[in-house]
Amino acid sequence: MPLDAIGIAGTALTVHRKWLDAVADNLSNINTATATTDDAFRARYVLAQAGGEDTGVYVAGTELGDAAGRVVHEPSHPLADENGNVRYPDIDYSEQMGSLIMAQRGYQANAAVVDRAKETYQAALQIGRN
Amino acid sequence: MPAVIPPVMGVSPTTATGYASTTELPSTDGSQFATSLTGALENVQSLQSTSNDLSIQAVTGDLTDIHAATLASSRASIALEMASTFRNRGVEAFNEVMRMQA
Repeated sequence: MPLDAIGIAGTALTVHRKWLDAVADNLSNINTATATTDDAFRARYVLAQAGGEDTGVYVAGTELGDAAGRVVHEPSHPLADENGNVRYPDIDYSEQMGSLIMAQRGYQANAAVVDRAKETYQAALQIGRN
Repeated sequence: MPAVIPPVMGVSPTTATGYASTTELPSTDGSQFATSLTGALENVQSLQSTSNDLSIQAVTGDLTDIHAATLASSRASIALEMASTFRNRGVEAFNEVMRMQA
């Protein structure tokens, strides 16, 4: 297929967009408490897989984090059980922030690949013009 | 007795060096260029229609990937540039031939 660099970078853009979505989901629910009888919010991790034969990268699926979470003593919480405990998701804030930056930078790098590829093709069309 | 001058011999034809054999000349009715250009333009048209669909999705809020729309538009623009460059070069060559005079 012609113009393949653009297509390959496009698959990587999609993967990083999904990673960004997953991080957004994790950070948005980082303070979501649940009753101790329920599962805690489970962090979502994107699994990337190489397409093989120069076809880029794809999301193979997502893995979910620990359902047990952290049990926190918070008797004033409306969802607290008879012992005054609620469940919080066991998500590491700094790890998520690191993933956020990596997803953003990866997206930007692949967007740069698209631009460079386009510039390269345009240079090819200029050959012999003058 | 004057020396006999040998008759002039025919010159054997020279063979081109470094060129492929000319036994398989392409058709000379000029239809090949037109066919290639038509194919390229059809390709451009399909890329542009993809780009159009994605632009409509972008403005109606149905687009999931922003980059899908921008990539499609980049592809369509580079394909159009390519087709127009090839067309211009072809016409340039034709005009060059038309300018030939004795």
